[in-house]
Amino acid sequence: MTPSLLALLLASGLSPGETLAVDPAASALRYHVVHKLHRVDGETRSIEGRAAVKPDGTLQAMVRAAVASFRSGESNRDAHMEETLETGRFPFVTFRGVARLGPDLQVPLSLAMDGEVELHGTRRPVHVTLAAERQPDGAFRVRTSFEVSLDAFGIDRPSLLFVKIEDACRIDVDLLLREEHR
Amino acid sequence: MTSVASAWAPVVNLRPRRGSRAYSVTSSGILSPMSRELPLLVLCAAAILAPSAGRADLRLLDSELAGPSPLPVVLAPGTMRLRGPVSPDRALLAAADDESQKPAGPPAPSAPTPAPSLDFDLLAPPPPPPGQDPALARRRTLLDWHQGLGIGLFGLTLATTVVGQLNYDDRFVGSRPSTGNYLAPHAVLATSTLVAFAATGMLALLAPAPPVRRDGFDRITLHKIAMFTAAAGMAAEGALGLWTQRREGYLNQESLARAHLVLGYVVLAAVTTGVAAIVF
Repeated sequence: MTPSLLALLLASGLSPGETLAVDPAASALRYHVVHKLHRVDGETRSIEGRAAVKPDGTLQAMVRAAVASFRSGESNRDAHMEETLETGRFPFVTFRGVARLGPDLQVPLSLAMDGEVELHGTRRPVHVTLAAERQPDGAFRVRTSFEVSLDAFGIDRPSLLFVKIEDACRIDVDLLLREEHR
Repeated sequence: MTSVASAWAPVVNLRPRRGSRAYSVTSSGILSPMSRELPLLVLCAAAILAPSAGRADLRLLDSELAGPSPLPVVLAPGTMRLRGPVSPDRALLAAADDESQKPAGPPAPSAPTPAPSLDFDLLAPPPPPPGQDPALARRRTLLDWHQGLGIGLFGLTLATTVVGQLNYDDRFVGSRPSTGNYLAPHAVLATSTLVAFAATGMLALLAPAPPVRRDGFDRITLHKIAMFTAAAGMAAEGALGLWTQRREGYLNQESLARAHLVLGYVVLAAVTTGVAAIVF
């Protein structure tokens, strides 16, 4: 790691070897799907995640949530989602990502991350742009949004009145990460 | 000695005099007395070291000293030419220099930086999945049939109510005599509605329970309230319709028919509310 990159990391509040953990009470994952007659939004706060800065300046991140923990405000719809996503076989949705912290690092951070989403037993690559801000208490607020294809994950899209929901599902991520002391 | 010395004559640029010792010219140009065997040793060393000099062909040709020579000089392709008096070691050095001065080939392309691996785990492994409950697939099938039959039920309820209104108007509104044209269709539609309602309700009641029951008022709660209201009204409609038909010729038949009609609209409203709670 170059001295300039090390200085930038320290200025941004990140240190090589540092591990950050998601604070689930202050974090949320949301999904958004569209039907011709409905717009469905679901949210969960049962999230576990961790981010680690490696000595070579690589940032690794992993976030996981139980699919059955998402709530859309309708129990029947949530039950239908659990049936469709086969939560008994694939109970979690997981994201893994890596990013290289380059010399142009700034605070607040805008970071491109390459990763993959694992859902319904299938992994698909995604490219996300993270917006990270340092909070007054030293925590990091990280936000991003990306779209996934339900068909790409082998999901039989639910239907209403014989009309299926759209293939695109938007995922909104709003995480609060705190330094983890092990 | 004479044959060996004459063989080296072009190299050393000396003509050894008869009976004298053979001399060799070093790189510094200093003559040093040598034994007769030294040129032969040097020749053997050159033959041994030639491969390490880049396999340069050490056939030497000095054009300035070219002259009648007892040895045939053959130039092979790629043979190196040296000008001026040279020694075998200078020849080796020159061969090595020529090899080093050859133009270097294009630099080998640098290997692309490999993408960082995503094969890592920062979280503790989750508990093993419990496995998919097969009852959930049966629930989905029954609810899909329930949804399809429910749409048909709404259509039948609407048709029964419309034909019932026409039948009431034909029988009790206006002064013209009743034609009776809507009596049989209304009876058929009403019976079909009752059968469809019972089948739709049975599909929902027989479907396995959802994975987790959650309390609170939502669309499904409104749907259930509306459909239970419609079920009660439909049961009353069936009884009231039969009673109204049996009161043919009685003075209270019209009031019974009016109650039957109003109750029919209430059932239609309840069914519409139950369907709208799911669709919209």
